[in-house]
Amino acid sequence: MAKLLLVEDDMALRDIYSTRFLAEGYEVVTASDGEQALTVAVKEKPDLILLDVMMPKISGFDVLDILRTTPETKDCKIVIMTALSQPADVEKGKMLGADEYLVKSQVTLTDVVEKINSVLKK
Amino acid sequence: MSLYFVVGTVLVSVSIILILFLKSRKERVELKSLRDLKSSLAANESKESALLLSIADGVYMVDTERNLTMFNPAAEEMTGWTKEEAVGLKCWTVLNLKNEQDDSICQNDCPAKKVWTSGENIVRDDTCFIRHRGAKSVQVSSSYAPIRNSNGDYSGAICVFRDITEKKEVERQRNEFVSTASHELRTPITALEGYISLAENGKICQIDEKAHEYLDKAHQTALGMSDLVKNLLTITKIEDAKIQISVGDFSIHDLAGETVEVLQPFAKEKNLYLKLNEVENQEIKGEKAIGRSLNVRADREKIREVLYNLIENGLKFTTTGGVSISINYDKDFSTVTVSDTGMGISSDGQQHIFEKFYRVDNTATREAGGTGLGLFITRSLVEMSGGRIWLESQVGKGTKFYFTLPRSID
Repeated sequence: MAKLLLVEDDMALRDIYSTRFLAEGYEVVTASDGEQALTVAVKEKPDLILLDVMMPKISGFDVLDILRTTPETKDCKIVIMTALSQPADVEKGKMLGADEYLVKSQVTLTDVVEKINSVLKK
Repeated sequence: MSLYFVVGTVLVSVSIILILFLKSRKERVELKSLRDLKSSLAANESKESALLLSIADGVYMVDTERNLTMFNPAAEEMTGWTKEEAVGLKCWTVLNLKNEQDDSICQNDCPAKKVWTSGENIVRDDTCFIRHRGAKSVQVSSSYAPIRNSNGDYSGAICVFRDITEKKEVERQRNEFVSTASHELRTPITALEGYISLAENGKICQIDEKAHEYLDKAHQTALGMSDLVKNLLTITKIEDAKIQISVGDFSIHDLAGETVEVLQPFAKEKNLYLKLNEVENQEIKGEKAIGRSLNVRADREKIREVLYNLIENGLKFTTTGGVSISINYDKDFSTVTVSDTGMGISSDGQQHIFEKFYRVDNTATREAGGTGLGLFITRSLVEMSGGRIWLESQVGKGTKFYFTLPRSID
């Protein structure tokens, strides 16, 4: 089964998403800030990373940039999921190499699961 | 002979004395009334100057050549110019009015000149800045009125202006607070929705029907909260003029079609029709024009929100019939009409419907839910795009909302 890395600084959201992904049959590893995300990504080699943007230490955009230029993670599927909804933010995420950009207030839990499934199938 | 002479002399003398006496009396009376007039004038003058001295608002007068003729102490304080320096100078030299974009109002749009050309009073609310001599900019709210001379001709204008820097700062802080609070509320609301969704997921939890029913209600409430937070954030952006408008050319017909498609399931659920009428080909400027191909110039995403709000509202308050959308064009504008066959809005309700937090209070609106912010936002978005919005409604028959958008320049 595919392995997901969930990067989210809010504990409740981390709990909710990982419970749902486990129920969908995914293996789930988590990180609560950008720095931890980079360490876990290299160590665990997940199939897909669900990445928050506004986080302590290193922002999600910077994490994305580093992941795309690191040999071990450059081909990993990455889905950004953030509260930032401005067109300029979406543009930035896509430019840095995100496979998908989701805005938290615009998607339900089921939408997130569907997006992850479809990105993994690509 | 001598008797006649004596009597004549006496009579003449008496007459002279009488005349002199009457004259001096008249003079005395005249002198007194002149003195009274003078003192009453002085009293008036001192009343006027006391008024101008004590008033906290800046007051100045200009003649029709726009030379300053009066300048009160509050004006001195707000501008850094003394009365002695200012009076006699052109008003733009002293006041240097600017708008929010830092363009000169004095040069392009002199409000004092406007009052004697239009004869109407002008209130320029909150959008005007004066430059203090110490180079700091002061935001003022100002009003102007024309002055006429005894012949009834315009002889100048009087302006009253008030420093509203502090008021604006309070508004800014309030908006910042609402904005921060709304942002902070977003995460817990998302968590709330998430946990409810986990509890209702059969793969994760086993719950009975009653629990499902309550969780559904909790979910609806959480969605309502989430809408409220979203609307509050939009309003703070509108009021801080921070909302970004990205104008482009697009087909309003296609956008209305997309919105209708998105809301079609909601209409079906309520057994209502929802349709977009085809645009008839129209003659514009003597030329045949195909309506569909006519573009408008506005912010596409903001207008999508406008259409969504109006159509969703129509569906919410309609129980039989449905909602139809039609689009018309004239030379400069495109007009979109959203008509429903719903409950209608009373004339009292119509007057307040676009106000912030206003809700028509009846059973239907209480059941339908909502925040009372949707139409306020809708109006702001239309006006930001250079259009206007209004409605026609009859209780029990339905409501028509109209809004216009400027057409693209071909």
